[in-house]
Amino acid sequence: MKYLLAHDIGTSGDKAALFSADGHLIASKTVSYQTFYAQGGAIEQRPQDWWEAVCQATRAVMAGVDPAQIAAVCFGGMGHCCTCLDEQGNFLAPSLLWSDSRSGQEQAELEAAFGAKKCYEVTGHKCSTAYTITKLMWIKKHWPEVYQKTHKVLTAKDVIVYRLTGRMCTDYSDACGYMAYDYKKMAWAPEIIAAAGLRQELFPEIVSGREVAGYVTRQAAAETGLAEGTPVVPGGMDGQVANIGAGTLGETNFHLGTSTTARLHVPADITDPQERYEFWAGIQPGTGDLAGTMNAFGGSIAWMRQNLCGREEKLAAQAGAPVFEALAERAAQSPVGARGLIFLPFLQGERTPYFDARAKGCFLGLSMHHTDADLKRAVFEGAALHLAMMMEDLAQLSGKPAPQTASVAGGAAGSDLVCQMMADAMGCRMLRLSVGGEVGSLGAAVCGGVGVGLYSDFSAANEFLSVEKEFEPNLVHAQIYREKLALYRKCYPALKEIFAKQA
Amino acid sequence: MMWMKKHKPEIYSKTYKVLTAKDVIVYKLTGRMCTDYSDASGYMAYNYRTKQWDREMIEACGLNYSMFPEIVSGIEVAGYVTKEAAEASGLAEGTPVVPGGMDGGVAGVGRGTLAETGFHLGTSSGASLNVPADVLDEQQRYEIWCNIDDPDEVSMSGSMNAFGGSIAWMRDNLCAKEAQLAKETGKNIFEFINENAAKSPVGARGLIYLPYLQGERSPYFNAKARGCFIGLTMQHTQDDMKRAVMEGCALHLALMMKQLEEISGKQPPQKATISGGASKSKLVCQIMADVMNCEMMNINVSDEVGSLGAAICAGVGVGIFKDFSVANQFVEITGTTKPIPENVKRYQQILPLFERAYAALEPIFEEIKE
Repeated sequence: MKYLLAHDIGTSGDKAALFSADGHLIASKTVSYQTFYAQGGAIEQRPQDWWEAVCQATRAVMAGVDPAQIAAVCFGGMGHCCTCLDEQGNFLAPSLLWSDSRSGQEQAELEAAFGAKKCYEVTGHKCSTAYTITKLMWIKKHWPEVYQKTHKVLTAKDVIVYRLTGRMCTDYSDACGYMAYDYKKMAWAPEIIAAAGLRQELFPEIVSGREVAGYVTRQAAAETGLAEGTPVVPGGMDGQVANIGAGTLGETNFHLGTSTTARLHVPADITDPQERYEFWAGIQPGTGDLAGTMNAFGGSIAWMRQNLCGREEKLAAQAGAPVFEALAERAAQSPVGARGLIFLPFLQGERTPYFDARAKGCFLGLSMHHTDADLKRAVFEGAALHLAMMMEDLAQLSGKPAPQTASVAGGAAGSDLVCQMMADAMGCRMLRLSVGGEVGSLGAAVCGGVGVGLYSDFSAANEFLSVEKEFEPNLVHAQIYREKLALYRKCYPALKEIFAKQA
Repeated sequence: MMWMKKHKPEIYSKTYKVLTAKDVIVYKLTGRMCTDYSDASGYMAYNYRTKQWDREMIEACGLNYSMFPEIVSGIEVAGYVTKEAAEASGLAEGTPVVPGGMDGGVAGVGRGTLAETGFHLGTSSGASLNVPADVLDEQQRYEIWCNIDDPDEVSMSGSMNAFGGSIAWMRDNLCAKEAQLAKETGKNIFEFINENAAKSPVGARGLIYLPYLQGERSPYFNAKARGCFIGLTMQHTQDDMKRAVMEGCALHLALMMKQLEEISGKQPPQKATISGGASKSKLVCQIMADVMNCEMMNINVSDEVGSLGAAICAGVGVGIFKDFSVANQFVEITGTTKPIPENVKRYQQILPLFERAYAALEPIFEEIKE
């Protein structure tokens, strides 16, 4: 029996998952590491902690397994952090995480030097502190001795690939997160790196995330318990690995978390003249998604659960059932459209398409006959409508018709109410997946399997997924949502200035 | 009257005078057909500056000027109970009859003259200021009601649809936990609601509530306006929403007061009476005091305030009472709430945003489909 070892180097910890080659999850283990916060938006982790977590988690899931049976190890991980290594592979400083926002000044400098519009045109991303390049500019300015000694700048999974194989490289999907990568040319963009005042050589070679990049060295074998010579397949950025794990059962896929992304697989020449949507390179070279992310999908539901569910908490306690069940039931008592009540899900500001940290949540349109059931329905609908708005924009940008089918997994996908609402709001058949484990881990396992020839391509993931339930769009409801969406689009622009003053 | 002329021409052609409710009774008691200034206001044909029916307007409506009754003071004896009326009512023949006025005006008399203005917090509410009779709102947002006692002074007022209505909605939809506690302890639900709303700081962490659950009258006259919560973040709780509801109701009254002051050039009142359901809440009283920067005096207005006012009009009419201030002896101040300066400042920052929020959402309200 062959096994595939998947690692997801996530924000709170490393999750290792061991799959059998026929797609069964054998074991999984998460090892946490610490995040360090400081003034000015500083958010850091120690790359040494990542490596130690990977070693620990690997040993845990491999207990009782012959290391020689591991066909490949493969990764998904947090994108666009900034980790500086010297030529010997020493970590020169803590890694600045994706969420670190201290490089606002550097963002402004890069926009001035290169042009904000040009940044978007070349990289497919709006210049912001979220990406590696501005973080590296900050390090050059504030930690000059670190910058001087830096040989390569890597993101999370690439640090691990290096420690396992001795090869410093990244894949196309993670390269995209540097905001120094020309997605149409599929190479580093020397002009933007020069405009940032950075050395071209610091940027690692870009390799295919679905091919073997190297083999576990003797030293790494001793540290991890893996067999020396085990093939290492890089994988890619967590979102792209999850894409693989979600399979190709639908034209697109949704992973419902605290935040949620709407994505369309597009060729690498698609752009958004209004710069609202971003291009994320796929692990398969030459592929990618045009995508937008909303901050509070699950976040809105969690807020509602916390603040509007006194009644449901009581019912749930009596019935010995989860609160969410009572909550969904109550929301379902309100008719489709929530009697016109609109909820704006900007409880954590909003990313796509407004990029406004000061945006805020609202209930609009209350009248005496609206009840808490309508409030609850409106919250679910607001979250679904925001996704529907992004899908509508993406379809329009891609020049293709909106997707007819989509798979959905994670978080709120367990709710029939949510899945049906998404189907109706997007006019799209939703396929709720049942996954053994999580799509991220499964995606890394499949990618590893492809890399060593166990599977012919990523569609192998479909074998390991099943559609647990299908939700067909209701045409009458879809019409109600279409009308509501037209009005929903007008709400943020109407309130933008009010939000700014409510800070 | 115009409708009557068109649809019931046989009635219209025989009409001698058109009277409102109390004037029918005054006529039946005395034989005199007349009305007072406050009720004349309600015909929408009374020129409150010339203090006469407006002939030009009446003729433009195609109506007969002579159908409009003589206008007399509501606090002077208009006539005496006739013999027939005495038999029908049991009153003594010759009993003086003093007209009084429209119900709202009479209730105002009953509440006394303890303060320059008063807020009665019912399901609906309103804001009013006594202003000289030459004041006009060019934007037509506020209404002129003639006072019973002085035709030279009028009351300019605006109505708000859902003060208590908002609080009732909040109680019914955001207060499951409080309802449970009330059931368990037998205490009034508002004890718990007030306690929890008070946990939210002044300004409810920036959360704004627009109290237009039933559309709104003054100053927008927009039946399509709707209630809103604007400014929620992950940190906001249900208690912030409760506080925001109370604040939003008070802010709308404050908005009207501010506009009335601008129109009339009058200084903001220093003191105001406060009565009605929501005034039982200390928190609401403090919010009102802070939002208006005005001392709030709770008065124990009984259900008979209207009757009391009418009785006082009668007493003034026959000289038993010198003037309306006698009402103050019948009214008890049960509590006072002074504004807190730092809260006043905070609300002064919020009020313009509250006003702008409605303007921003007006086009959205137009399109909401229920």
